[in-house]
Amino acid sequence: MSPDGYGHLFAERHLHLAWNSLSLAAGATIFSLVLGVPMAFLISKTDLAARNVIAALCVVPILVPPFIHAIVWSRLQQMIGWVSGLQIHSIWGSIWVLGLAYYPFVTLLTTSGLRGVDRGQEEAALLSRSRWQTLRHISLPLTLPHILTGAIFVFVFSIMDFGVPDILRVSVYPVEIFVQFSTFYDNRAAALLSFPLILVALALMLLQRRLMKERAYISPGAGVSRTGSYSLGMVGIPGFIFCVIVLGLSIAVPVGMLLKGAGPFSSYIRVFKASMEQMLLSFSLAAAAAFVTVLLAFLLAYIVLRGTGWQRTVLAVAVFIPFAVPATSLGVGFIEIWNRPMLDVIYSSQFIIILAYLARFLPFAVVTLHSGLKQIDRGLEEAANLAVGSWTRVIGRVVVPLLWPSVLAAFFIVFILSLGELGTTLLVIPPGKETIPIKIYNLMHYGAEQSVAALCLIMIAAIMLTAGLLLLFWRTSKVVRIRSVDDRR
Amino acid sequence: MIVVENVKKNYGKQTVLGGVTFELYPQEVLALMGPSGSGKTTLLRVVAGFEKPDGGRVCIDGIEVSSATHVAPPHKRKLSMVFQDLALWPHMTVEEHLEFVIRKNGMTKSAARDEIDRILECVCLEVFQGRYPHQLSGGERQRLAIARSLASSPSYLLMDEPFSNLDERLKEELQQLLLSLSQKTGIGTIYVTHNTREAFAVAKRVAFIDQGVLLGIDDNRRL
Repeated sequence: MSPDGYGHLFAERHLHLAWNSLSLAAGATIFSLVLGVPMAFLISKTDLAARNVIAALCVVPILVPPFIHAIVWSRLQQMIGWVSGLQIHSIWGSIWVLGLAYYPFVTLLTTSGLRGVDRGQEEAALLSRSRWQTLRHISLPLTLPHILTGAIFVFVFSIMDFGVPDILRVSVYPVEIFVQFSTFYDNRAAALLSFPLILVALALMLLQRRLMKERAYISPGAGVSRTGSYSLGMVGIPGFIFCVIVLGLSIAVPVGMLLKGAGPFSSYIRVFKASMEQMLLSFSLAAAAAFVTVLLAFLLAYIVLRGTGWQRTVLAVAVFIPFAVPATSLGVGFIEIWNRPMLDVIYSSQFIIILAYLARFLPFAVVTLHSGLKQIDRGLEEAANLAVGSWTRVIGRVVVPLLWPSVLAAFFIVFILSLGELGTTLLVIPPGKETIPIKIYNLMHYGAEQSVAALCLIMIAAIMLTAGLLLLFWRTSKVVRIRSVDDRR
Repeated sequence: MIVVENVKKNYGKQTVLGGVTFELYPQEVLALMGPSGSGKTTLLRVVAGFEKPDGGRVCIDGIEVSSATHVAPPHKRKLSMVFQDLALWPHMTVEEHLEFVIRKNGMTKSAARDEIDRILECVCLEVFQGRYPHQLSGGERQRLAIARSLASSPSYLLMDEPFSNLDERLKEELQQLLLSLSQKTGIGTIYVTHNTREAFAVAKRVAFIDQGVLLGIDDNRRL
C-alpha cells in the first residue's frame, strides 16, 4: 500500500466511517446480548410458562433478512413520526434493528451451551452451592464459549451488513465501499476501505483464541444436562413479559407492519405470479450453495480439528478470513478476479453467485461443524478406524451420522443466509437475473411499497416453510432419536 | 445417620428401585454392590437429592430430606459425592475447585487459604494448585475429586465407582488414601462398586442390590 493510500485511509472521513462501523457493531452486539442471554436462560433453565413455544418462536427473527426489519421500522417511523423517541435513520436506529434481527444467534447458541453443560459438573456444584450460585459459577462460565461465539457472530454480521445501514442511511464501511465502486468504479478505494474491517475481525479471532487458550470444554457427558429447572416464582411474570416484548418487537411488529402494508390478498397473488422466476432462482441458488458449502466446510473443520502440523494452524486462521471481508468488498473482489474473458463461463452465469455465497458463508458452516465435531469423542472414531480400517467408511458410518444435527444446522444457516444475501449479489449478479432480495431492494427504490411488503411476507412464508421441513427432517433423523432415548435415562 | 426407608423410583414403566431400605451409621463405610443397571447409581442420586423418589423417604441425621412430596436441596444435606466421571470443572484450577466449595459459608480468604493448603497437602496436590483438570494426570484428577468432596467438611460421602477407570496399583493407593482420610475426618461413606474385592477392601458392611431390590446387607467378615 502506498503512503498516499495510508493517508487516504486515515483521513477524517475514514475515521468517521471506522467510528460508525465499530459503534454500530458493538452496539448491536451488546443489545443482542442483553436480549439473547436472559432469554436463553429463561427458556433453558427455568420453569417459565410456555418456554417451549418461546424457544420455537426465537428462531423466527433469524428467518427474516435484516434489511426487511429495516424496511419495516423505517416505515413505522414514517407512519407514526417517531418510535419510542428513537430516530430510526441513525446509528441508534441501526443498532436497534440489527440487535432485534440478530439476538436469536445469541439465544440459540447460549441455550445450546447451557443445555450442553455436563450434568455431573452442575451436580457436583449443587452439593455445596445453591442453584443460582451453580448457574453463576459453573453453568454460565462453561457456556462462555457459546456466548462469545454468539457475540462474535452478531458483531461480524453487523459490521459487514450492507442492507440495514443503507436503508437507514448510516455511513459505514460496507455502504461506502458500494458507493465508491458503483458510483466511481474505484476498486482501489473499495479495497482500502475493507482493510480496517479485516483488521478488526482478525483481532477478534485472536482475542477469542487467547481467551479460550487454557480451557478445555469437551466433556464426556455433554448434552445430557438434566439438573432440573430453576423455580422462578413471582419473577416468572416479569420474565414472561420480557420474552413477550422481545418476541413482539422482533416478530409481531415486522409481520404486522408488512401485513398492513401488503393490502388485500389479491396483491399477494399478483406479486407471487410476478416473482415466481426470482423465487425459484433464489431457492435453487441458496440450496446449491448450502450443499457445496457444507461439503467443503466438513473437510476443512475435520482437518482443523484432527489435523497436525503448521498446515492445520494456517488453515484454522485462513478459513475465517472471509469472516473479515464485507459483502460489498467481496463483490468487488469477485468482479476483479472473475471478470475475464477466459472465466466468462462462470462470471456470466449463476455459478458466480453460488461461489459468492460459498465465500461469504463458509466460515459459519465451518464453525458449526467444528463445534459438532468437538462434541464427538475421538475414541469413537479411533475404535471404528481399528475395526474397519477405512477412513471414508469411518467418516460415512460413524462421524457423519453422529454429526448429522450439526450438518443440518450448517446447511440451514448457509441456506437462510444465502437466501437473504444482498451486498455481494447486488454487485456480481449476471444481467437479466434477479434474486428475491434484489427484487425487494429495487422495488423499494421505485417506491412500490405494497409490492415490497407482499414480497417480504411471501419470502418470510417460504423461508418458514423450508425451516419447518428441515426441522421435521432433523427430528426424524436417526441420531436425534438415539440422543432422545439416551437423555431419558 | 442416613436412613433410607422403602425408597421407590420408576422411569416410565420401568422400576429402577423397588422399595429399598437400609441405614448408614455415622463414620461407617458401607459398600453398595450390584451388577450394572441394578439401581446403585439411582439410589445414590436419590440420597444426594438429584432424583425425587416416587415412594418412601430418606432421612439424614433425623431430618426427612427426600420423599415423594418434598426434596431438600442437595447443598443442605451435609453430604458430598465423588462422581464416576469425576465431574471436575474445566474452567477452574485445582485451587479454585476447593475455594469454590470451601468459601460457601462466608469464610475469610485467609482461613480458606489455610484450609485449601491443608487439604491439598492431604492429597499430595500442593504443587499442582495452579493447574486446570486437563493439565493433570488420571490419578491427580482422582485426588482432586476426592479433595473437592472433602473440602465442604461433609458428614457423609457418596462415592459412585470412583476408581473404576484406574489401574490396580493406583486404585489401591487411592483406596488407602480415602480410608485414612475418612477415618481421620469421621465421615460416613456409601461406596458404590461392582467389584467384590474393592467392596471388601474398603467397607465393614456390604449391601447387595439387584434389579432395584436390596438382596442383603451384612458385615463383610460374615459375608
